[in-house]
Amino acid sequence: MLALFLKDLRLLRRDRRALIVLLVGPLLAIAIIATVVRRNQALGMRLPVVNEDQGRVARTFTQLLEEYAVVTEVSRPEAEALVRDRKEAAAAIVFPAHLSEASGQGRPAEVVLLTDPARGSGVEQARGILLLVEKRAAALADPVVVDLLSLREVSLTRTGPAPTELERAIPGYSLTFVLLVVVLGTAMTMYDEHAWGMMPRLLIAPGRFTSMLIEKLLVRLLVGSGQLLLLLLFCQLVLGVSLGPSPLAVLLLVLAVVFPIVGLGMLTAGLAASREQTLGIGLASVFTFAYLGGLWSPIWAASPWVQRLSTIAFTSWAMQGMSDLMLRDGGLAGLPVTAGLLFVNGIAFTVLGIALFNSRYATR
Amino acid sequence: MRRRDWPWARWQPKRTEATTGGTDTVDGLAPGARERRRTPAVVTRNLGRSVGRREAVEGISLVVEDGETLGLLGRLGAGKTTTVGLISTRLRPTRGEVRIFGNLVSEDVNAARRLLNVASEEEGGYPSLTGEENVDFFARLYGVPRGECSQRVAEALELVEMTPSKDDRLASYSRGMRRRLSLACALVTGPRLLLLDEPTVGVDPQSRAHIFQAVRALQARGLSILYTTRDIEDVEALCDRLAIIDEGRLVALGTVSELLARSQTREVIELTLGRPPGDLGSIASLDGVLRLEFSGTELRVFTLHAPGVLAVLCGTPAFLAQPILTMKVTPVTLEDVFVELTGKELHD
Repeated sequence: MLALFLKDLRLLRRDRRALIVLLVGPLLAIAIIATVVRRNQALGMRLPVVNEDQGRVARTFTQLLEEYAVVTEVSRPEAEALVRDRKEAAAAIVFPAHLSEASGQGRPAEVVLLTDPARGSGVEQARGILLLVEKRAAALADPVVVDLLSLREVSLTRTGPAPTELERAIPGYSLTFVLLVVVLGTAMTMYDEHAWGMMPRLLIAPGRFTSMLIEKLLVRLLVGSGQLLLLLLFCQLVLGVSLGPSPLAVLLLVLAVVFPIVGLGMLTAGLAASREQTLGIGLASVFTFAYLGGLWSPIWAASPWVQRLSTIAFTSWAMQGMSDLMLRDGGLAGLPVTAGLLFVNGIAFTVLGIALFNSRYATR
Repeated sequence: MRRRDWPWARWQPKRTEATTGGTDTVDGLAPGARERRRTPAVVTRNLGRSVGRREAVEGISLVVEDGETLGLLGRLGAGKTTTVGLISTRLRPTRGEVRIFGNLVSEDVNAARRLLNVASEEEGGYPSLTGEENVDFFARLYGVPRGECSQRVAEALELVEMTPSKDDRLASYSRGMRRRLSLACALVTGPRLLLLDEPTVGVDPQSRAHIFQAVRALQARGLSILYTTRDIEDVEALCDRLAIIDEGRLVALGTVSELLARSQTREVIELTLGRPPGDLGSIASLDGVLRLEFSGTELRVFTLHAPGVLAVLCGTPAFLAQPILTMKVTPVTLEDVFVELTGKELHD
């Protein structure tokens, strides 16, 4: 038993890259996450404000809001675009015209919250900030009359009732599951060819080695797509979660989402030279992309540079595509851009992964 | 597809004098013989491969004639597997060239690949597939028409006598069975050239016998074979000609009898003495003694003519003072030639 223990330790020590991935990797990841995640999450949230009032109430509220969020004054159409189309904000606050005047005259008035219910935590955060600001406004030496103010929410992305917690959680967790299974599955199946002694035989077969790798990746694309589709169908049939109005859009999105994940698996296989490395690099890439895509927690809680980085992470597009379809009543119309970006990312990962894998194993 | 339609079935056994002829030229061919033959299965010229600063193989020039079995004999690490890797197109040479049935590998690698296959010491295969499924995979990988696959697979399995185990998963096979299946995987693709890289190392006697039988059947069908081994018995049993490789270089090429004839030694006197002889120098300096091997009380004297040496040997002071327990005179063996050419034993 001691001999096995010592042997395994020695094997690990010899595999330097795996050792770095296994030991230093997690420490590095925690250190990076501690650096990039904001201590005060509210400060990172973007909150567009439409000031049609131009009076004392809107001015006071806006000044107080700036202490809790990144406030930008915009026009109403721009606010709607930020929330509905560009998905850069979960909610926007509108101070309608004559708000201060009505408040001064003791008449009831309302503040409008334009929301994207698909981004539930962001909307809740916006509500919380408004509540806090309302209390502080009431406590000022020259108090704003807040008792007569009410909040009206307008959903910009969904016609029905706001999605439940379960519905909001499903896109992120479905993607996480598929990321884990497909990235590790793809990378391990490539490594297995080597471990089973098949690589020399495949290398001398007529035809391009790259074509053989692509055939293997196609299987993974098919299996991964099947897994995600099955998962979504289960959610729809058993849990009653909506998959949107277009089954074709679901199918296309599933393929578009799984393709870059398969590519990421190929890239992992290209980078890893052993089983340990495959697991280490695979898991590290899954966690990184899950975090950058906001699969587990909203990306607005991260530092601005991480938020910028997340815009080029395929998982954030995948998440957006899934949310558009399941939570925002999206159909085929909004799909081409998201699917296109995912496809380009998938091509890049696959080409790079195959090149690295070839440089390790192919005829040389 | 009927058996006679298999690509290798077109090549009839050929044991011409030219094939096993002289080795005067660098590629081991008798002068003028090249023109008389069909395109050779393998021609390598000055083949070399460096790994870092080390030369794994260097200046390998050899010919495997169409229908011939050439043995490549060498110690562990002599460069046999690298040579097979270069000929099989798995490795790229750093120097020299390889032609497979006239196709220059560096110009059209796929043309060469379609004509050859390898069964190596490593028994590659998919553990969760059955033996038949593994063989079938290779048939499809090499583009065997769908309609012919099942018959080709059955014939390949039959040839290595794996039909009874064809439905078992590879994971349950013994090493010898895996080695035979590996051979079937190579054969199902219909190669004209088969590279066998130490196919009998570490296998049980039964599997070894099956492999020998399969190789003989393939020879009878005229398949060209390059057979690497560390075992003299394999070479003597299966090969038409033999190349000896040491430290990445070819040191000899020819038929077994040619290599034996090339040796300076003709006979070996093997003696078991009562105690170690004291003065070996006096024995070594005797007329007709070419070399001595000495271990404990065992002494081997390599000679040109044993009777002449024996008469003098028994009169030397080293022998007069002690009894000779056993004495045997044998003709020189291939193993002796190997030691003479390389200065090393074949096995450690």
